[in-house]
Amino acid sequence: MTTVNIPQFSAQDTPRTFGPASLTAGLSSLTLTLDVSTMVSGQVLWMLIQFGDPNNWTGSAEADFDGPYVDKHTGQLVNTNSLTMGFGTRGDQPVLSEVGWRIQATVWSVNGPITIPGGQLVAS
Amino acid sequence: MGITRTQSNHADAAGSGTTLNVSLSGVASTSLVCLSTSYDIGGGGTESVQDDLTVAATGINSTSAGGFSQNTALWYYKNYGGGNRTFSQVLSVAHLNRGITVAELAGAVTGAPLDGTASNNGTSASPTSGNLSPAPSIAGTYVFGRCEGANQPSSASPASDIFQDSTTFGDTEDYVQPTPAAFGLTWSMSSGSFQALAASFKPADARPQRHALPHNQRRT
Repeated sequence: MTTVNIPQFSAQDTPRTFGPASLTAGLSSLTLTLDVSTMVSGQVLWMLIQFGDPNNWTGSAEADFDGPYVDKHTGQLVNTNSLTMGFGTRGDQPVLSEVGWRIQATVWSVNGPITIPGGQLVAS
Repeated sequence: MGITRTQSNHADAAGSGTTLNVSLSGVASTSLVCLSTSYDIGGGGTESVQDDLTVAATGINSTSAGGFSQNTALWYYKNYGGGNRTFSQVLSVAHLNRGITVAELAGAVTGAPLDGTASNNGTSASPTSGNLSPAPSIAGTYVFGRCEGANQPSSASPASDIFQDSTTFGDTEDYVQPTPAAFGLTWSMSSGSFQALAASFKPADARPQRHALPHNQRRT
């Protein structure tokens, strides 16, 4: 497992990147989790995660998010948001991370700055 | 050679939003690209899938039946243009629990690859799409499908897992059927409500089935 701790920061309309960080070989998924408890109605947070060679990223996933929500499985208010990407497969074999690969997360906001108390980028 | 999966990728996002993007690198031209998507249906609206060139994917089938608040859909591009591409699930209003899985396939018919479809819902520990209609009639038919459950489904034999989505409680799997016969995809999960979709695609190297002539029509 590879973990990148993301400290408190202010998400702005200019993207903020965390990484690239070295990735342990043999991993197959990547998850960015951020504390979004300070978001207010109307704000949108964008999250982008990437893996591979920083000069030519192998894979990426990106999603928008409009605030805390109630999880349908637990019924609980969730103050974090997560974006997960599988690294993909070649044939029936999982693609495992290779020596030299990197990971990074990029975050930006729409409709005003958002204080993010912290988060993690985790490869597993 | 038949149809082979050359690469795939997957993304899921727990929180509410309208856009979920996932990339494939070095997609070969003329590939078949299959996608499955899902989202929580609360709030209504519509769903579409497009690439970064704003080319829309063709919808195959979708369902929001099954007794729980999720919509599942299958999409494809035939004879795809290739390149480093990003595929987007685009929702007209924000939804929770979004997921998209994309797979590149080599060896499919480029003209009209889609063959059969199946859609099913119910309550079971062995969710199934039901049999494809029409039934696969060509050896090497490729079958692609997604199941969403009230509990987490897993791929089941003889299919291979592409991705399990723990955010939506979904699973996308595929299978190459060696001989023509009635067929539907199945999954396994702790018994509960499910919705399951499947679609089949024709291999490019298929040979028409030969039928022996009746004795009275044979050349002598």
